[in-house]
Amino acid sequence: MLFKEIGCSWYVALLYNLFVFAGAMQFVTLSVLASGGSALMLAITLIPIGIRNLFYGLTMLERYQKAPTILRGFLAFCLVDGVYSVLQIGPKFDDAKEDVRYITWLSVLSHASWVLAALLGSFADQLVPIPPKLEFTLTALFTAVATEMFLTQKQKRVLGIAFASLALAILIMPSQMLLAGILFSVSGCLMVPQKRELTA
Amino acid sequence: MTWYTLLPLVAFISWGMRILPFAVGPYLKRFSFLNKLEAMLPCCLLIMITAYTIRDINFREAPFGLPEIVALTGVVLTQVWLRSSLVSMIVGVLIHQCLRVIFLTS
Repeated sequence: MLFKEIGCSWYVALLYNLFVFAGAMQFVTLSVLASGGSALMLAITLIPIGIRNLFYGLTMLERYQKAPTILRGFLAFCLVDGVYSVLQIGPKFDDAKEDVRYITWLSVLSHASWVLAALLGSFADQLVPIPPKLEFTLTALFTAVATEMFLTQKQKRVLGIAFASLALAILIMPSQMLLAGILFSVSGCLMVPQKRELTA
Repeated sequence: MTWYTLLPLVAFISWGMRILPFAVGPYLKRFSFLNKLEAMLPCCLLIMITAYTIRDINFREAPFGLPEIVALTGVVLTQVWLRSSLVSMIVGVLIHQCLRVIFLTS
């Protein structure tokens, strides 16, 4: 739908969704494209958005290690916010092969639905009125997953770190609050357990 | 600058940043601090992203972000109660949509 607004045809939208599986990045690409920025500027804007995926990969290393290299490339491509949060709470199979099969199916399904949604969006935007603010679905999913992780881990320190870094990030750099928040939490996570080890 | 020159660039950046940790990860694994991160970071990241998705809310104007606050509280409570993320998610979206309509019409 958004691609149409800046005058691209449906196959451009399809190609983008096939090869770039990243919601936020696509929005930014569109806005830079629309305002006529340069490719270098685009790259500089995109990298901070993608940085959180670096950390997703780091926390998922072990589970993805069992997949063959080529498949791992595809799976890494599909490791987006949604897939990551489902993986965190979904089943974890003891059998390595089964676990890889599960991750693969999850990735393929989410990517397929992404591409399909883009197709639908570029054709059906006049036919079906889409309720506004439905992106709140994602917010709700992230909240549910975060709650579930907290309930299983029962580490109260995590909440302290998360909200402290969040507040700090919003106070210090509101425009880059996601990036700042992630960096603060990383350093927070590193500092807190070490302190406890020293006193124990 | 057209779309077909940009497509490879954007694809490369998004994919590259996801593949990088898998490429360098095994070498990093020998540092023990990564294990600490693995235990605590995911939850922090999710809280950051939740906040990021609702960053545009204006708390100074009506409805003061109330639909989001109430809906997210609902999500947390449902999750504690039923432990099913799908149910919590649906509950959250329903509350959010209802409140939005109520505040828009009032």
